[in-house]
Amino acid sequence: MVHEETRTGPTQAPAVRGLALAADTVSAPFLLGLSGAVFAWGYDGLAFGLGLGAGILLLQLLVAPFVPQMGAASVPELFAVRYGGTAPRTLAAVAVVLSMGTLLVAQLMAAGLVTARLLGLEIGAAIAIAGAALLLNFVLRGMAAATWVRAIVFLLMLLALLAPTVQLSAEWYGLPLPQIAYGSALSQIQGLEETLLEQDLADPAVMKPMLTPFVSLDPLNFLGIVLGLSLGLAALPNMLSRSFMGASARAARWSAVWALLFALVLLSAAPALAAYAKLSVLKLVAAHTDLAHLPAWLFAYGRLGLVRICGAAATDAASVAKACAALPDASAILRLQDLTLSPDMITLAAPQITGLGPATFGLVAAAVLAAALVTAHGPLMALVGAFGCDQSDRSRLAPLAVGAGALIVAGLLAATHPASILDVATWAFTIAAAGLFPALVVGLWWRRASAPAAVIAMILGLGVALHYLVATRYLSVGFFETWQSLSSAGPTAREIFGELKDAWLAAARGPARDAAWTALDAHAQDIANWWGIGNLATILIALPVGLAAMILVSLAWPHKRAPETAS
Amino acid sequence: MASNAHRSDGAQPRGRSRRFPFLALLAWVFFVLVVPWAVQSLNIVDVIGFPLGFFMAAQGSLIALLLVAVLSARLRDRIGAAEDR
Repeated sequence: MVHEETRTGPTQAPAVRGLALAADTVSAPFLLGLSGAVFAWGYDGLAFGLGLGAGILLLQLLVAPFVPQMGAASVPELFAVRYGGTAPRTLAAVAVVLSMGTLLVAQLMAAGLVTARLLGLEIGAAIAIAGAALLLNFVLRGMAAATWVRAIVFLLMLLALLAPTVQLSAEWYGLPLPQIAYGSALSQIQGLEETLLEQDLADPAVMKPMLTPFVSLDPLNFLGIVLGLSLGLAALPNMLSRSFMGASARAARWSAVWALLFALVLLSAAPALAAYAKLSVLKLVAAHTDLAHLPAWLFAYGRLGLVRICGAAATDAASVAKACAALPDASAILRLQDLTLSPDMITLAAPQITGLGPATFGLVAAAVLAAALVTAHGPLMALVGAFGCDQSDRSRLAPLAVGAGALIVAGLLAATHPASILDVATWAFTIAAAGLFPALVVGLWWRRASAPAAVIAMILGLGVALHYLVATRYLSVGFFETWQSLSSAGPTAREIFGELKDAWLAAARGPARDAAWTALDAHAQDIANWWGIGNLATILIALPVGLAAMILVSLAWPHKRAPETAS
Repeated sequence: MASNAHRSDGAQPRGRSRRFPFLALLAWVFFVLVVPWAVQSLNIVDVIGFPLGFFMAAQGSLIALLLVAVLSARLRDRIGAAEDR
């Protein structure tokens, strides 16, 4: 069943392969999240789009030259060919399962969000429906999503971002070229941000000016996200096995060039959509909107838990009024600091935020849903392949069981909403970068890279990355206490941590203790780090470890036989 | 690139088209890591209504990467002609 695509592969033109590769690169989580990142973080949010584009070039430069010799159908098989033995293969399979499983969680979160919005369901039920649709697709069509299907889906994804942005660019600035027209929106945003501050409608302590760099992320973490996404993409298992299968080296590199071109159009439209949404939200606040007359879209997304006003989920006008009246500095008018929009919702909600018609919303939602259902095939297929199911063509039961199991686990995780969709997708790329990139790329380019080195690099890279990813986010209090001396926290932040901890220890059991823990945990997440490296920039720690292990162990413990793949 | 001078003589097709892409990676590092890092000094200049630093991170660097990809692919086509069958 996997080999369906191998058979049709060579007939595809590089441009069609490029479209398919671009669809796999961007995929539904990033389609939903990219605009949201720029909306929430301004300049700093551009790190995600830049990382994806940079990854396609890395894929072309570092991996594509070896395509003709990659008879291997999956990354674990490739490791078996290059290094021999079972240990490199097994470890690669573990890395594939972890990274692709995480990507599948992000895919299900994206599909669930769109389904919930379209059918008016709760998120949990919507994720179950989306997961069932994926499973049905998997059962009916087997594991391969044909190249041309993914090519068409990429065109739909492009449409989802271009339909609203072209319309708005033409309406607002008379220039239907969003990539150029939104420059005017940016300067309007700057002006409005100043006006809001002057009129006391925004709080200078929490406002993040869109054009000011390094407000949400410092340069180090910005570069960490770019590196994590680009290295992860170059090593991402579904890229290797699907988009280049059956291609010559020449076809592979031109597919990557086309993919970069198509991705460029999409990635550069995402900030435009973010700017238009931001401008509309700022205008809403600048119009002195009464809390009793909020637009309906706020409640539509508030009911999904994506909009918070005055610290409470915006489910209806009455609850908003109640939450805002309870604030110490209560106001009857919406202020910028009262309004929190989840980055997850921006792409989907942009047509309504900017006042476009329901037709545009329908188009965007349909495109995102199609993208989620089709691009989720890649991780699912790589995951099933990693369990060694792809050779057992005789019985379809084993791959089905593995696929269904993976979908159920991923669906349960997605329903807990572990973090924003973009964060989860970034984790998936980071795990691939930490676990696979050093062993894959050093192994391809350096004849002396040895199997023991690959094994040690994968264990250390994966181990460090997983520990850092999980501990800084979910065990942050313990992490900070263990690694206090390495944290970048200043004396004030350390003092606050001590006070919050004392408050938690002193609190009586029950809601008071829970609230104290929430405050302590939230604060600890900001300061639980090594040298100021944040959760999303984990690759900055894992990559040096993996590369050093690869090089030092290879020198100390050379390989016995000359590997075929090195030059 | 220097390898331009002696192209596809077929003597060592593998070594030629498999040369480690130092220059292209250098360009990658410049546009992906250095330019976004230097955003504050770039923002002093404006291009087509954007501060230059923002423009580069949003699309300028990606356009530059596309150029690097095209140049590198053409170069490799030339020096690796013997290898692709």
